[in-house]
Amino acid sequence: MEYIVKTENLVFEYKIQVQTEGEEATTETEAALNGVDIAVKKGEFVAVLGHNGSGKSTLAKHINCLLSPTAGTMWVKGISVADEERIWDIRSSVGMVFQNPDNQIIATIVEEDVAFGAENLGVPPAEIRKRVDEALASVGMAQYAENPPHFLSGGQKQRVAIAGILAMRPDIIVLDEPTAMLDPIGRREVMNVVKKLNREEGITIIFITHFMDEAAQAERIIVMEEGKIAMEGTPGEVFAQIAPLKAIGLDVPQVAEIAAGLREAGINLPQGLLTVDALVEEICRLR
Amino acid sequence: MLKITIGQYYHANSFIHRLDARMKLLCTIIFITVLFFVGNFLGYALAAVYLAIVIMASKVPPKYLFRGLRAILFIIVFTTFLNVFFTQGEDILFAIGPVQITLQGLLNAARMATRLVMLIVGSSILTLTTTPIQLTDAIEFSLKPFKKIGVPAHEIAMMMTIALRFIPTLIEEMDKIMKAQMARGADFDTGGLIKKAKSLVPLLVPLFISSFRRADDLALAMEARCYRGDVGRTRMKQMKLAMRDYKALAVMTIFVALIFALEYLARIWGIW
Repeated sequence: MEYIVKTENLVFEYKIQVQTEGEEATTETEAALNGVDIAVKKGEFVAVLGHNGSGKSTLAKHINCLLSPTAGTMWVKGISVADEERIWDIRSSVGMVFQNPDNQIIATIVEEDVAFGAENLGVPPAEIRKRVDEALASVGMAQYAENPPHFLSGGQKQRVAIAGILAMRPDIIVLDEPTAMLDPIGRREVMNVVKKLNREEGITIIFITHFMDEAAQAERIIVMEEGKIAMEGTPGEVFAQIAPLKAIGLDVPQVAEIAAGLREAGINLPQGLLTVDALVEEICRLR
Repeated sequence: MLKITIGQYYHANSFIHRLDARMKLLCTIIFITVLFFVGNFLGYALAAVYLAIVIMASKVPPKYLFRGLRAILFIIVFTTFLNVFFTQGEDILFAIGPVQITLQGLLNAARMATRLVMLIVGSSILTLTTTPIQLTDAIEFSLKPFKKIGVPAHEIAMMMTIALRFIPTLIEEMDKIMKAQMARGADFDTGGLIKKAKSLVPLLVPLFISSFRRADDLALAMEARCYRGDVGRTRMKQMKLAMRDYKALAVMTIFVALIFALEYLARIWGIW
């Protein structure tokens, strides 16, 4: 099996200044990533779960070479991220969406912003035009092409950011908590676009989040804790482990918790129920 | 909400709007330069007629255009005042004590005021009919020849674009911080100038801090989207000169020729 993103014992350390009163400042090394092994297949939709400081953002930034590993290796499309000559090959095939929708829009007009990445790659003008129109259409923002971005809602801005990446024709999109600053409607809009891109265009998605219901929609979940991988598996498998998840400060989707409670009370329900519809269907079948 | 009119664009579909931004920039620079060569009032009249035609062609309501003059009203009044009272000349019209009002003074004052008004109106037409992004592109293009002597043309244009992009974001943020401070009892409205200035400090500090954070985020986002300066970059919107741009240039040339002819005649005939 060909892996599009693969890491081996990935370690990332950074230095922090520690100042205690009456003493000189000392530098300490802290590991944000401490031996991470992941492997993502082409076309997969992977969610990375973890609370603040678990190293999930640091991992995301490695995929786009925004950070380089202290030890261990990472390959993106078979290219080692340590190969500095090919850094732009990696960046052009890995798109990245960040948390703050305001701080990643560069231009004063939506379509100009969508064109930005493709312009940087040196794509011919007519081709950029075509890609921009297609990208805006596939995130459902075509009617806003000539608007200034500051009138858009948070969810719309994130969709513009995704369009900007689509215009670069990437193989992988890494989304670093793209919904953390959005309202529920914006979150749903972004999630739907991401799922559609994965399903219809076969783009590999690495979705970093701390929302359980979003992670539940992925094919596979990687749970991170203190720079290490704590759990891995399908949403059904991961969310069945309610106690270990709670031990590292994470929740499970409400449906999974209710199903577990019912099972404990002696009601015969199968594992892996994550949506309200699935749970309702199973409960109705009991009669 | 604060109102900022920098780079304000008036959307309309006119001949002037459709002109290439580079041509508009060139014509505006020529127009402004010419204004400072003109010394006679026939020339000013011609320039005014020319401006009026351009304004009509641009479909920008004159009300909109002249609003920009309000901001510099003080400068106009001030220079007029200085010119009237402090120009030395022979033809003294009347004198009040040591202050003399001379014919030369009045003429100079009128010239200066006319020039200033036309300068502002002329350059407002440029900014009102050109989107900020087109204007930045035009500036980048015109700075290109100076790249060899180390002028960072692309970087200047990119900085202008980002600044324009973040003006509304920062205004919004300032508004938010102001409200947050007011909710905690801050007072921005009363007191003298010094007290008011002091009350801005708790506003500016958080604004600066968040701007640095935004800058950091933006730099990361730009790098992630393969930005590496001007290296191997293309543009989606290509600037192309069309027939109408050459027509505009021809009109401008005729105007300049007429102005200089008038100026020459005025000097021979000795009119003002």
